[in-house]
Amino acid sequence: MVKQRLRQIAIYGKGGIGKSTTTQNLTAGLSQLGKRIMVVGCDPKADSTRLLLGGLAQKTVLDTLRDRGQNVDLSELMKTGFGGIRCVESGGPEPGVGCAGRGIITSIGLLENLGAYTDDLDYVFYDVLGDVVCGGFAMPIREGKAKEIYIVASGEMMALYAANNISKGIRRYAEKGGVRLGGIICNSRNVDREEELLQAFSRELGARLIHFLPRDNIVQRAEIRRKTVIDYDPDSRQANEYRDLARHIEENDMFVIPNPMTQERLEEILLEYGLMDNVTEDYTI
Amino acid sequence: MAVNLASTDVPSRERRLGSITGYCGTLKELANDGCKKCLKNRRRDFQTSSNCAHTHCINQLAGLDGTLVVDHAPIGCAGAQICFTSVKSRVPAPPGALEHARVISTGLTESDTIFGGLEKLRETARLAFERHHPREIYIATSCVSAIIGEDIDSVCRELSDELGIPVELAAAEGLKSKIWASGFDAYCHAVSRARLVDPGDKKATINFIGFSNIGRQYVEPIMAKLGLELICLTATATVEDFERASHSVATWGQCGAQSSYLASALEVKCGVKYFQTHLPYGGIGFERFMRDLGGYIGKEELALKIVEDEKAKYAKTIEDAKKTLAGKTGFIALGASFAYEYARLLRELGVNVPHAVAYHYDPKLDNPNENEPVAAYADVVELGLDIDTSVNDGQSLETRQLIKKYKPDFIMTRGHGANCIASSFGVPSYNCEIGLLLMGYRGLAMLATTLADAISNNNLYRKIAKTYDAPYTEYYNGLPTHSFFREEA
Repeated sequence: MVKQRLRQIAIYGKGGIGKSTTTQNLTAGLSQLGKRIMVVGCDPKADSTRLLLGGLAQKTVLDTLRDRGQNVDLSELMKTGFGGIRCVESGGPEPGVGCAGRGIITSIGLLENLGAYTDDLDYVFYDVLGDVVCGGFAMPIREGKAKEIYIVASGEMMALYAANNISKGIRRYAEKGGVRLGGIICNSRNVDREEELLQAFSRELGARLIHFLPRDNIVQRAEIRRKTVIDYDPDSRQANEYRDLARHIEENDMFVIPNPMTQERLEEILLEYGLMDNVTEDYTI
Repeated sequence: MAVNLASTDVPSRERRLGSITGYCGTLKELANDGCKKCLKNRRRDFQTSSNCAHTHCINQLAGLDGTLVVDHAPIGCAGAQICFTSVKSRVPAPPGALEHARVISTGLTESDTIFGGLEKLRETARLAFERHHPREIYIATSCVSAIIGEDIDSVCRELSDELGIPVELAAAEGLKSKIWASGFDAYCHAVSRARLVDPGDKKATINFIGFSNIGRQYVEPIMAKLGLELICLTATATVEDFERASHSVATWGQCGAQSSYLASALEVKCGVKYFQTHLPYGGIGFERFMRDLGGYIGKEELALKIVEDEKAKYAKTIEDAKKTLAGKTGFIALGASFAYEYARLLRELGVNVPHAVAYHYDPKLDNPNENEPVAAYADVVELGLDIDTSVNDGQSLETRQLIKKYKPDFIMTRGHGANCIASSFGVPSYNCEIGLLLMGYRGLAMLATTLADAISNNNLYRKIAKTYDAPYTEYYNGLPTHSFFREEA
């Protein structure tokens, strides 16, 4: 049987939207499909693999680089977590010091030199901090490390604004390389007509809403226990949602160069879909 | 007000003064429309070569007496440091007093860009202090330290308390400006904050700001006749020189590009009058400058008597040289001020100037008195000086096409490779003096005799031209003198 090519995927989205939680749960789902996966956390907080490893037990690439120089072994940087998923954290400087973006560039370069990208891998996921804030954080897509991008968003305006901005970054790099948008993942915040809004937003970008993850408190409970939902309660409805997301990504064959919209058009879509005419005074979510 | 010493940083020349790096047209249009900010042809599509503001800031700081510069940068930014030592070594200093320029790089690495380089900066400054015991330290920022947003000002204050000497920030990141002369502003701003003192009683002293004090022996007697002692705020200037300069009656500078910010800071902070409009080069410039200065200190009659004496002293030398120079054409490629100062000087010697290239152009300077125009504007208005001119900083093709078009008898230049281009056409070049050496009738006489001598035998240049093949393709060779501007005149 011919080995399927390695799929390198970057997950972007507004800060606090749930990128790390979604990435870890979806990779847990993929591992149950028998896939071999590496997750590279690209956030100075170094918490992108906490749920897979059962805590922040890991030394980051940049900490190691600072303490030991280039003379390090891959086993010191990479830990194996739930479902055999290989976990690496890039890490970064203290807040207000240095340049974390530059750190991402250095970190991924070091992982390559140390042979982290082995032939047996099916997936590498990059969980990238917040919006595309500078060239360093765009590195996974800029350098062609990640060919597929998924944007985590919700029906909240700023989440869609960030998703649209990220699409601009993807388009810029898509025109010179092979990077494509694989779709939008909605991590629901229970706002008005959220799924319809996200469908419309995705259509406008020329992409698809690859999965709508409903809001469920079990995610919070699993996080407190340092576990993915699939690990914490494998039979729960939310665990199945993450498995569905994993399957949709595994089966995805629609990769597009997005058409980012103007601020005016984005606001039009919000007005069109983001308001429920029959709910005028109840703002509870 | 352009000069704001309360801030740690100074905005670029482009933002502060509206300075430009591209233009082709006439000096009259440049001077008139430049002031109104409606110049055409001032935007270029590309730059073939240039220089870095960072280098020029450090060069100036390291030249001062008793100072040490910590260059908070990757080691490559210190590539031009050999020039710092050589520049300082050429400046006359009391026997035994000459010290080498002291510039120590923190040598920022990739790891420092990620985790910050402030600890390295502290260690470097401490080590530098222990090793050299300077009277003051300047910490120069670079593109790298600026991009990663290092809080260097806080470290300066911390180190100043710790070491017990002034530690001043010099915001010298090259990326801030396309004009390398912005490095002079970074130097002037830093040294003004560190060395100027509060105004007190005025003393009978006058300040000269420039690269070097070479030629001071010719100028000191002139100022002494006016009852003024000359203070040179140049390489080798001491902390005390700057303190005394804060109480002077007046300042003039070698040129607007290098000197205007410090001169303006002296005027703003210390009330020292800045003479900006009439630079004292050649006979005409000297006469106007002396009239301005004499009038200001209440000795105009005496000042004009000095001018007459100087004129008489050098009249024969100048007249003799003018016979050789009559009808010759001289092409100019010089800095923002000197391009047009030399245009006036050559005219004074009867030399035709078909074109002058300026490396950049400042439509105004930092002088708080907005009624005092830049020198080039004054020459256009007062003398009717008008020549074809362009602004280009190291645009080799453009300079080459111009020299090819005008076929001058010689060119006047200083750096930036125009002398090599001229040589390839068999045209001799004269490496220009600036500053005190060029002042007054003595300076004009020196220029006249040197030029007359230089053009009397250009055998060497003719031979060079015979063996030279230009690297340009037919396309580039056939281009008009000014291409690649975004706007048209």
